[in-house]
Amino acid sequence: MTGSRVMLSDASFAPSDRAAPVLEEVEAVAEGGRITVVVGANAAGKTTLLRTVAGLRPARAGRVSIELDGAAYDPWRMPARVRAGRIAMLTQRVGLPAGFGVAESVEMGRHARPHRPERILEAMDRLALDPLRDRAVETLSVGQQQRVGLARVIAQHEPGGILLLDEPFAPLDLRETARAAGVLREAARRGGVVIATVHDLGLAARFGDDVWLLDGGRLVASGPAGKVLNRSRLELLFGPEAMALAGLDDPREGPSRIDGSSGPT
Amino acid sequence: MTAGTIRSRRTRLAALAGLVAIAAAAAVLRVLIGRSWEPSGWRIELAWPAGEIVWFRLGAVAVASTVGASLATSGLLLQTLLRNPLASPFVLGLSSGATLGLAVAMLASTALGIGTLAGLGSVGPAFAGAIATLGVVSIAGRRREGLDPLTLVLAGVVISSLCGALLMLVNHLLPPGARGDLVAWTMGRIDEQPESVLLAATAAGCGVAILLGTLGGSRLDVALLGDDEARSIGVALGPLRWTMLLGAGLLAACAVAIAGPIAFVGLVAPHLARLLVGSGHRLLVLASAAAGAGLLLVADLVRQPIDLGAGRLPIGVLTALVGGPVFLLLLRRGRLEGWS
Repeated sequence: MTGSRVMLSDASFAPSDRAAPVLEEVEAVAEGGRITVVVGANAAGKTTLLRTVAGLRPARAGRVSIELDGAAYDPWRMPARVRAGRIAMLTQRVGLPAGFGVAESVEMGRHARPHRPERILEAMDRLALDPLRDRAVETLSVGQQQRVGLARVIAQHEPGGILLLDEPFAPLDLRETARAAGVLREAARRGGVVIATVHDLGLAARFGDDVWLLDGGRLVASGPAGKVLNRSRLELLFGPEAMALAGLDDPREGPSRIDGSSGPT
Repeated sequence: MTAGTIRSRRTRLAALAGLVAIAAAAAVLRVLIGRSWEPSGWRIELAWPAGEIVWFRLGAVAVASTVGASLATSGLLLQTLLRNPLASPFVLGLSSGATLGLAVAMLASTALGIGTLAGLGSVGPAFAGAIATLGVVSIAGRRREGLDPLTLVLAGVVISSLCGALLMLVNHLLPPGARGDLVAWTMGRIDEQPESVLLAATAAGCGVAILLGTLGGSRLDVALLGDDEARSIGVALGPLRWTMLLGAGLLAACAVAIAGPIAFVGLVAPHLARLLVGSGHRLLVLASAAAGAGLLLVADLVRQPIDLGAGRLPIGVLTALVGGPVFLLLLRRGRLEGWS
């Protein structure tokens, strides 16, 4: 699969049919091979944007499309099983029904895909879930449950497809954040479009190649992380106290990137 | 099995086989158990029944196993559909609707002077009442994006209350002589001479539901996730929910029409099965049906020697007396935790 892409053309997004749009006139492109981080305050419309790209909601106006192998699709109009083979999404609250083991829960991600046990084992291995494979999911910590949710979408995700993640790192400790970031980076390296919402600005700066910055119902900036995440713009959005609290004089400064690469270029 | 781990597949299969064996043993015992009158009182005996009696007992076995399996399958489908461990056919108000249907038919037959209702005459109105309730609850629970589980539950509770109030009104309007029949029916019954057409149709429907539920087990597993996750993984929840609601509703309506409103089997049997074979529907659907059939067969077996007042202990009373504490025990042991 080559040339994957997500395109938003003058698109408006609403969380439900009756609700007013939370985001309007969005023009943006997320390219395959790169990680796009969506940043914005609470209720800025990040989740609604991801749900619409995932085909779980129609765009209120404009156009949302995904490009795979040169063909363009409207995610909302794709049959559920077909869509599941192109787009995988990690929701903000990972659903793990009680009574299932870790391996069974990861296997659910392959429901609409050809049965390939090696994909399930690989996903579990990469999220370090092997030692927990027979544990009942309701007995896991929140961070471990998040890793199960991540492994499920990784098992579902086909190389070169679209991977959408709503707050993937929120409950993870630093070691697991680095591990998960590495897995997502690998998905991008294989040509996938990776779009993730991230609240931690430092993390967003170090993890993302590109950033979409949302504010006031608009996409206020998009482009390479180094250009979008500058101090003055973020201070305007979140306030000076938040900058100090996050220790972000310049979000791009600091240690090497968390996926192990040498740093921003 | 160490703490916090799930059972191995082999253990789960063994548990399923155990459930089926218990249900089969209860069926055989139900055929063998009998009573003979002696001057000192009733004497319980276990022997192959003579003559026509075997057919009566087999009739009771057929009713108990079909109704038990149907209620349990219906309960499991509703618990999965609504992602609610407390869901059962009663939550949707089906039993209330069936009882009201029968009560209205009794009132009409009394007013028109056409005698008492029997056989299909009683089954028809009960079935119609249950289906009408299902229709109202479905319409109330409909949203533009499909059925909403929470609204369905709330609608079921409201409809149950309405049906209960109307039932009291009809009972009040019935002549005193007819009230006893209605009250007896609401206690549940395992008829030894069942209405064979309805029983056969219910058994066939239950068999189809078990087969489809087992074959589509992984889809039912995914339906337990959040709406967004299930859709993202590739399950079209809309058609699945309508199919489950219709299947659960029809099974419960038939069961109630055959045996009256029998409490707790539809609620407890899926939990009992889940305890033994885990939450995966590929085994759970069959295990749940076996547990439901087994529970009702055992209940029918247990009540055989118990004579109270007007006759044998009503089956609905027994299942409520046993099922209630069992359910409380499950709650206390935290078996219902972890549901979204």
